[in-house]
Amino acid sequence: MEQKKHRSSILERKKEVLESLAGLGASIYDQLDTGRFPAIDMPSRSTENITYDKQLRQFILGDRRVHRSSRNIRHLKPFTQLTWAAFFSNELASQRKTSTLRDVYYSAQAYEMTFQDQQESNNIITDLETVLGLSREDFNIFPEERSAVFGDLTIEYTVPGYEGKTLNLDSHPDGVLIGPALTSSEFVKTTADKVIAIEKGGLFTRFIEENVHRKHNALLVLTAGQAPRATRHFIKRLNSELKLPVYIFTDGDPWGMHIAMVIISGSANAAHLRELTTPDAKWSGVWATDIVNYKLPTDPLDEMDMKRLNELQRDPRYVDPLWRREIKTFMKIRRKAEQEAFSRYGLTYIVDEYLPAKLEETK
Amino acid sequence: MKTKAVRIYGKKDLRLEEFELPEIKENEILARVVSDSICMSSHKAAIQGADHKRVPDDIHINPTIIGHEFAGIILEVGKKWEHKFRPGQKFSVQPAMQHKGTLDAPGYSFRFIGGNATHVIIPDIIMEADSLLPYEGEAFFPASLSEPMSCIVGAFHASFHIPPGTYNHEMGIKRGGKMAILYGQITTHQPATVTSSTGITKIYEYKLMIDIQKNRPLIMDRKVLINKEQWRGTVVEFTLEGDYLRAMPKILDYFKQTAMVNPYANLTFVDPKGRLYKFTRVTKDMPAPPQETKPHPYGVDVELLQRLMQVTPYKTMQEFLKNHFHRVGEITAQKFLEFSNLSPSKNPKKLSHEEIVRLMHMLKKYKEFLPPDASCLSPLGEELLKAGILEQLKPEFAVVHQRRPATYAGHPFIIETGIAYGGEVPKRGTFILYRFANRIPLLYDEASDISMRVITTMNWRRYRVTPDMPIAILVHICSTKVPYKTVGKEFIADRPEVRREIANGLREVARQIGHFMSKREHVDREKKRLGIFNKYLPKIAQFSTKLAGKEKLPDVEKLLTSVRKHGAEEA
Repeated sequence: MEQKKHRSSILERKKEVLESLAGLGASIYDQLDTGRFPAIDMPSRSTENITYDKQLRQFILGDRRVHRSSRNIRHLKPFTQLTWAAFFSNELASQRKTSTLRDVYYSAQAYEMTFQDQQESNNIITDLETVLGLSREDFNIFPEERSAVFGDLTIEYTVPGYEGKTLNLDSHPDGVLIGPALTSSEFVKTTADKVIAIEKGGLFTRFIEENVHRKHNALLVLTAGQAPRATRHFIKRLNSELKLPVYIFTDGDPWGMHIAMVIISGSANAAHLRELTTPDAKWSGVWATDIVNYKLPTDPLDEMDMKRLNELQRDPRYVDPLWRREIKTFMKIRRKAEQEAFSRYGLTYIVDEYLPAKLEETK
Repeated sequence: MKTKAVRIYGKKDLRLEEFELPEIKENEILARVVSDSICMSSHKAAIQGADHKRVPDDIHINPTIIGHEFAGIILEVGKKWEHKFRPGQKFSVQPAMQHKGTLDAPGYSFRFIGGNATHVIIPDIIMEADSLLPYEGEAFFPASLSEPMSCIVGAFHASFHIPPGTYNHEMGIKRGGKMAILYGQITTHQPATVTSSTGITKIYEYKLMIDIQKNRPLIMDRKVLINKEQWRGTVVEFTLEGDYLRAMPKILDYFKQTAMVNPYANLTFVDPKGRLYKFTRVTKDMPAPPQETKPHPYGVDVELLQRLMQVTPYKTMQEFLKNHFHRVGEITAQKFLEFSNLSPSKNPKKLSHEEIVRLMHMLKKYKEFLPPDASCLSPLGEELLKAGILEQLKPEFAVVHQRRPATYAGHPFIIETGIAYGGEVPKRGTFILYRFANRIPLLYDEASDISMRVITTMNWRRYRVTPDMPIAILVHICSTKVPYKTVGKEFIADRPEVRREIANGLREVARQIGHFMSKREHVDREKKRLGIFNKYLPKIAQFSTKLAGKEKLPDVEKLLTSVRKHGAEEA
């Protein structure tokens, strides 16, 4: 395999983030300094303002904007909180420290900026994302991590203390946590020619044990259920910077289907953000038609499953014939199957038979 | 079973007859009457016939048996009542059953039961009303006399110890009875001393006791002193026994409240423990004294008419009416006499008792009398009322209102109201109510007072007021005849005219307190709002300065000043 070396825009992006924050600060400062009540304009995140963009293949915010003025008594507190959040993010980013949403909630108290609850502080961080068009990971605010990656990819850290150090992601057989240090790393080289994202930890481990990464020249990504935003961004980078096609394997039910869809087309909650979607990624299974074709052991779809299917049927992201066919099939057979269901044909059947067939089918 | 009974067929139509009783039903009882006493009420029924409220309309076809004070022996018991009564049992009957409000009673309303019969069928309703009473006495006549006896007891109760319209028996000397001297005498048997002078050269000093039997004063000693210093006033001294510890809070309340509505008076009280309480006047202005007035025709009773007729020097009804009644002049007297078919030249002393009663009724019926004027009343006035409230309650804010004069049943009255908020007014979780009648505090039976009822039915939230606020409400009724409900004179009765005036008076002060509250809320809101700007604008300045990488904090003082001046923008 040809070895590639890539430079991502990590450092440039960091610079951009700091500039954005400083710009926001300057705007507020200048308004105050000229004797005006500072105000901020940002796109509205209300559901009426969220539309699906077929070109971008993700949700975007419409033209409606909200005006937050510190002159308005009801906006004053959130406005101050937003200013604080920008200030705090700036501290984090410039000192290259990371933090979590929970941290943010508590840190505010040190500045007598008490938030009523976690939800309130989360909302303010989302406001900041919307104002700047950057995601909170850019401000070094990360969720609790649980997803991982494994395979032949050499990365180079940019986090303090590790600058310049490299790591090959096949060096630990449990995979490497997709955390702040990894997501802020540059990609150096890889021999892989594809990415396989897997919903469940058990299967991720089986794939590593069965050498799937070698047999199929793949980087393996564990999404651990619904993929966190950092992981989605990471997959996006693998796809766009390394030009690796992405294949997603989930359980054969409406929820698994949607895990794949969020990696591909994003979520309405993140309509204010870009760079989180991988529109060319493929959902490779487990499809409803696979359940039929492979005669998998199944459970019946319950009420919640059926409700979810109905929702997905109306969802603008599910327009492709493949998705429509699978939703229809689910509704027809009213059964679901987990990835582990292939074990009825032996533990390695999924790796030896199913995986190659599906990779070929969804190429 | 045959029975022999006296039955009523109509007015003054009683017949002694023998007839067959029907078979008793499952829920009835057959009995033999042994004794029955004759009651005036039966006499009344015999005279009124079907007009009597308890006697049915169709007695000319279906006569009823009269007599209701009877006792006897049970002969046969229907299945329904076997568990409670048995043949051979002695019984008496409580005639006024009032069962579920029915006026029906044996001796008036029933065809097969009544005292004047040998045999009777006791209907189900009597047992249901629990009015068939097993009797254990040795002779039957005392059982027959139990109803008249209970009437006598009831009459005594009604006269002395029962508030009109109720059956609540109140024993003993009633609290609040204005009988201080009498009470002093019966507890200590010491005379009262009254010293008085109107500023003339003499001072009179009397030692008095009351002849309780004859209800007359006994003058024990009498002195006339020389009034060198032209002293003016009255001193009443007497000794009484009481439980001061228990009564103390009410006594102090009484003084405090008296001071509230008599702000021009100095009150000094040295209590049995030697403590001095002093209520100093806050003003020397007094309300105008009431002017003597004649009775208004709507307000007179037979007693008053008789008294006037005894003393009147006038020889004709025309003159009598014109000179003894308020708001009655020449023409009114004439028109009224025409209306009531009385000769204007008739001598009032010649009126029969019936004619006097009729005169009273006609006086009340005649619609053309002008309402009484209020010159005979002496309300406190808004200024004095407010001064008294401010001094005694020391509130943050007080409003008062005086209603225009109104009348009920020929008696003029004026309602004065007030509300005090905050300051030293305590928070009790309910409104504190101060009631006064002719400037005298009413301390007892607050819950029964019409003011309380008006307060509880008012929608206070609309005036931005809730009972958990420190609020005291004051109602003063000033009248020639305060409509007390009871002889204890402790609370005001629910008369529609009075209720309306109190309600309107309270609404007026409530409106004023409502304005005050909303103004305060506005000020509070502004204060709070400014507080929010004070808190957050400097923070925005601080964070944005650091964020923008500047050194010098922007000046937010100008913005804060503009908030102070123009208020904030609403969302």
